[in-house]
Amino acid sequence: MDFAVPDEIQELCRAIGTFIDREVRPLEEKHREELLEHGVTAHLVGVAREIMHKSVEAGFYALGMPESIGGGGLGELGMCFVRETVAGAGAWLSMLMMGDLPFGPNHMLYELGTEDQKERYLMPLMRGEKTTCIALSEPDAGSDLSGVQTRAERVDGGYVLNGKKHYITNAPYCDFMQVFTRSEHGHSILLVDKPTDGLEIGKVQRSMGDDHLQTEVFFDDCFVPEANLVGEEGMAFAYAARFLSNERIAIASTAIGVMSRLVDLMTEHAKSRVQFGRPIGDNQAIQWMIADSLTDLYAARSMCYDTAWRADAGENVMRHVSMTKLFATEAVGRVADRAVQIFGGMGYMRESPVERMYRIVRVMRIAGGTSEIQRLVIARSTGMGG
Amino acid sequence: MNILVCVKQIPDPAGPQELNNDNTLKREGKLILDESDSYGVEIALQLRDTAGEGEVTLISMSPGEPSGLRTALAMGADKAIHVVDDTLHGADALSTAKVLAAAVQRAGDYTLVIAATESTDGYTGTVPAQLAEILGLPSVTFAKSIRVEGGKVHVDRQTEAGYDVVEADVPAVVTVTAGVVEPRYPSFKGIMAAKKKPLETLAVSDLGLDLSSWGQNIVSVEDAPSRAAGEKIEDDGEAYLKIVEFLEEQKVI
Repeated sequence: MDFAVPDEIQELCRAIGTFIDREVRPLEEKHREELLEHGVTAHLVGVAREIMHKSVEAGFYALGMPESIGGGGLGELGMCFVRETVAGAGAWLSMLMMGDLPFGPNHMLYELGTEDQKERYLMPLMRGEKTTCIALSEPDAGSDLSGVQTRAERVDGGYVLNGKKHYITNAPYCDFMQVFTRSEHGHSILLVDKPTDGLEIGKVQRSMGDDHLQTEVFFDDCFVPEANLVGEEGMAFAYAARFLSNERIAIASTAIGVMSRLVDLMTEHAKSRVQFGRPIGDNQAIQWMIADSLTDLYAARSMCYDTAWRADAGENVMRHVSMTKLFATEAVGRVADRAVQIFGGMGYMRESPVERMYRIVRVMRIAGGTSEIQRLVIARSTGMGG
Repeated sequence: MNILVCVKQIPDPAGPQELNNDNTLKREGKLILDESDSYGVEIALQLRDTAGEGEVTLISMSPGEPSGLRTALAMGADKAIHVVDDTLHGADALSTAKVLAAAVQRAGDYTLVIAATESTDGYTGTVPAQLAEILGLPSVTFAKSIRVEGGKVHVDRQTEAGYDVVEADVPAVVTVTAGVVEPRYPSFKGIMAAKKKPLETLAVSDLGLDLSSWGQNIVSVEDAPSRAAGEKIEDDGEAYLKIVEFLEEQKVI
C-alpha cells in the first residue's frame, strides 16, 4: 500500500493552489467586508460562479468525472488530495470551483441518464453552464429518507409533483433540480427545470455557516415530463446509495483540508502569541492541544486515503466510508474547538478565520448522513439488526 | 514558428531557503518552474498558436528532476532540453549563458529565444544578454508584447516612462517582463500529456564545452544591513514643506 502522492497529482494541487491565490483570494479581499457582515450572499454566489467559469476554462472542474465527457478521470484518492487542497486554502469563494456534489455533475446522471438527459443536463453541468441541486430533505424526511412525502402522480406524458422540500442547498441559484419523490412504484428521482410552472423557491434559510444557499422548495401541481425520470421508478434510494454516497468521502476529505489549515493556524499563533513574557506555545497545555490535533489529522488522513485507495481498487467500502466520515468530521470539530481556545478572545471574533471555520465545520457531522447514521451503517455492516 | 524558451527550475520560494557549505543555494527536493519564466512560456505559446505552426522548446540548466520543466510542458510547450551535470554546481551567470547557448545551438532552427528578465533565486539579470552575445544575436529586453512579422521581431519594450517600440532581425533573444500576460494554468489533462512529451537530458560533455574555467567561489555571505531609522517629522502645520524638501533632496520630485 503506497499513499505517496503521485507527481501529477502534486502538480495538479500546486496549480490549483496558484489558481486560488490568483483568482480567488483577490476577490475575497475585495469582498471581505461583505463576507464578514453578511456571509455568502446572492451577490457573492454570483462572484463564486464567475470563479467556477474560470475553473472550467483552466481544466480544474469536474475532475472526478470520466475523461470521455470532458472530466479529469481522477479516482477517489486523487479527488481526496484535490479537495484537501481547496478546503485547506480557506477561501469562502472557492466553493463552486470543483463542481462537486451537489452543485456539479455526478455519476448518476452519467451512468443512468438517457442520451437526451445527458445532452440537456449532464453536459451543460460539465461545461459549467448549469448548476444543479439535490432536492431530498423534507420536514419529515431527514435521516429517514423513506419519510419523503413529496408525491409524483402519473399523468399523460409525465408526472405532476406536489410537496415541500427544505434546506435545499443551491436551490435558489441552480438551473435544474434532482428531486426525490414518492411515485406509484416507490421513490423515484425526477429532473425539474428551473423555472417550471408550479415550482416555487421559498425563503432563504440562513445557516450557521453564514450562507444564503439553502431554501425551501414548493411543488404545486408541477408538471414534469416522463423523459425527466432518472433510471427506473422506485429505485431512488438504491441510486442514491450507489452514486451519491461519495459525498461522504468528499465531506471527509474537505474536513481534513480544513483541519490541516486549522492546525497550521493554531501552531503559528501558539508560537507567536506572547503572554507572561513567552510564547503561549511554550505551555504544555497548548502543546497538548496541538499534539492531539496533529494526531487527529494524521488518523483522519490515513483513514481517508486508505478508504479512497480501496474504493479505487474496486472494493465495497461502505463501512470504510462511514468510519472515515464519522472520524474525520468529529475530529475537525474537536480541532476547531481547540483552535478557538488557543486563539482565545481573537478566536471568538468574526474577523478571525478560526471563528468562521468553527461554525462551518459543524454541519459536516450532519450533512451526508449524521454521525449517528454512520455508526448505524458501521454496526449493521456486522450483521446486527435493529 | 519555432521558439526556444530558457526557463529555470528553482527551490519553492515559499519554503525555507538554505545554503550549502560552499555558500551556494541548496537545490534539493522538488524544484518548481520559476514564476518569472511562466510569462515567457505564455508569450511563446501565444506566438506559436497565432502562427499556427512550429514548436515551443524549453531549455533549462539545473540539477535534479525536471519537475519545473514538466509544469511548462503541461502549460503547452512541445518539448524540453534539460542540461543536468554535477560539474555545473556553482556555475556563475556567464557559465550558465555558455551552457544555454550550446543547448540553443543544438535545438535546430528557431525564430526567437525568449527568457525572463531575471530569475527569482539569483537576480543577476545578466544571462539573457550574455546568451545573445555568445550566439551573436540581437538582444531586446523588458518586452511587454512581442510580434513577429516580415522577418523582424517587433517589441514594445517597457521603460519607466512608458514603452519603446523596438524592432530587430530574427532570430533574436528577447526578455519578457513579469506580469505582462496571464500565464495559463497547467490543467490536469496538460499535466498528463506532459508526461509523454519529449524531454532530452544532456550532460556537459554532450554539449562539447570546455569545463576548465567556470564556476565561482562565494567567499562569504552576509545579511543585508538593516534599514536605518527614518526621520520623524512632527506636524506643526507646515510639515508638508519639510516633506517636499526631503523629496526634492532625494530627487524624487
